[in-house]
Amino acid sequence: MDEDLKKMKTISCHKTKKLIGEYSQGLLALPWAERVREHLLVCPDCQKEYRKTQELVRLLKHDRLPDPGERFWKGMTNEVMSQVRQARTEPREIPWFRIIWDRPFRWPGYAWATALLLILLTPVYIYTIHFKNPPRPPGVEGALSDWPGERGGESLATILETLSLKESSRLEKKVVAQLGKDLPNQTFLRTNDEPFGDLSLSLDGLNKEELELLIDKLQTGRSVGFKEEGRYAA
Amino acid sequence: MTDDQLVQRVKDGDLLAFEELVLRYQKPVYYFVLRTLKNTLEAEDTVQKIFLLAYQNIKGFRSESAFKTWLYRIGVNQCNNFFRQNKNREFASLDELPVADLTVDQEGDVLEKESLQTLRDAVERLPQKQKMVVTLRIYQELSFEEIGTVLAMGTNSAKVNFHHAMGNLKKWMKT
Repeated sequence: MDEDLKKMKTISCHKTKKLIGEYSQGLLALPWAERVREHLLVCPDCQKEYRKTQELVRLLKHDRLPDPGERFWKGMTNEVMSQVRQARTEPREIPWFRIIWDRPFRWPGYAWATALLLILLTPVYIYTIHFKNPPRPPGVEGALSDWPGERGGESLATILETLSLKESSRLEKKVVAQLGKDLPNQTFLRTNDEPFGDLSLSLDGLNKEELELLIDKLQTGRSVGFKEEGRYAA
Repeated sequence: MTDDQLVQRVKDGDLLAFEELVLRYQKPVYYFVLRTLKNTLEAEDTVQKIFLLAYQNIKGFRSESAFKTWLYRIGVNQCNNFFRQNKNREFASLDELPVADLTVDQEGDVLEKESLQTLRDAVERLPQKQKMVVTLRIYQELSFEEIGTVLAMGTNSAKVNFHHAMGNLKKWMKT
């Protein structure tokens, strides 16, 4: 018997109390309605809660507002319809943004939005392509952004001399950005007869004084005169 | 004719169809607004505004929700607008809200009226959302799903608000 009771009480009291509001108004769907019903059969505490809820709902529904009468309702209908007829004949005031959005100069709003976007983005595109990443002049090898890796023959001094004004300026900025970096060992740029690796990697190996000297040489157009001690500065 | 059919006719320009919708819904909408605003004159004006707005915007009404739900949604917005515009005004006390005559015996009548007054005081104490949920559920008999649509909340949220409202009312009715 106790086992049967336990089974019937499978839904908890907490859950039942949460659902009692819906259940009392017949809004609870199966199978929850059935579970609540079964629980209420065996749980006096929840039964008490259910009765309180029913009484509250009854009291709430009992609070009726008086009917103002047929004359009132007819009057309201007439007033509403009169305002509706008036609104029909009068042109509705359309907000200015609506006018612009709907059909300004015979273009719909989304067309204007697209055109505006293109107008704003075009200069950004031009700047990015032609000024920030200018096309490389032909024949200048060892451009900073994609130094092809170690190759025989080109010394840093030669490379530096072939750089355009813009490339020198970029190299200078890169070097300046590296100033202040603590390096574990002193390294030097290789010059003249040795092949070179990636110039930006070479810069990583420089200490502060070397970088400043490099900047100085770049500005005056002189060749760099460092010598590495035993290994590549890559 | 169903509401959707009437709405379609209104969209096609049939004013009589709109009048039919007004006749169908003016009473429940009026009672809802009156319970919310607690002032008969304001309620009248607001109801007229609600139907006028409904007519003006009916072309944008898509039958994703029921017309009734949409109308109540306009009603809730208008009531909220009213409260926003009249923040500093004092509203009518509950005593001014008319109570229907109860057809019970004299003693029962007095007791019932006292309980009703206590109940109204308790309902007035509820947070606005809970109050709206109770009004729409008990008096307008909207489902929780419809209430969720009207108040821009989920169905479960509407149920939770109702549950909390009932809990609060039971607590306050005791004291």
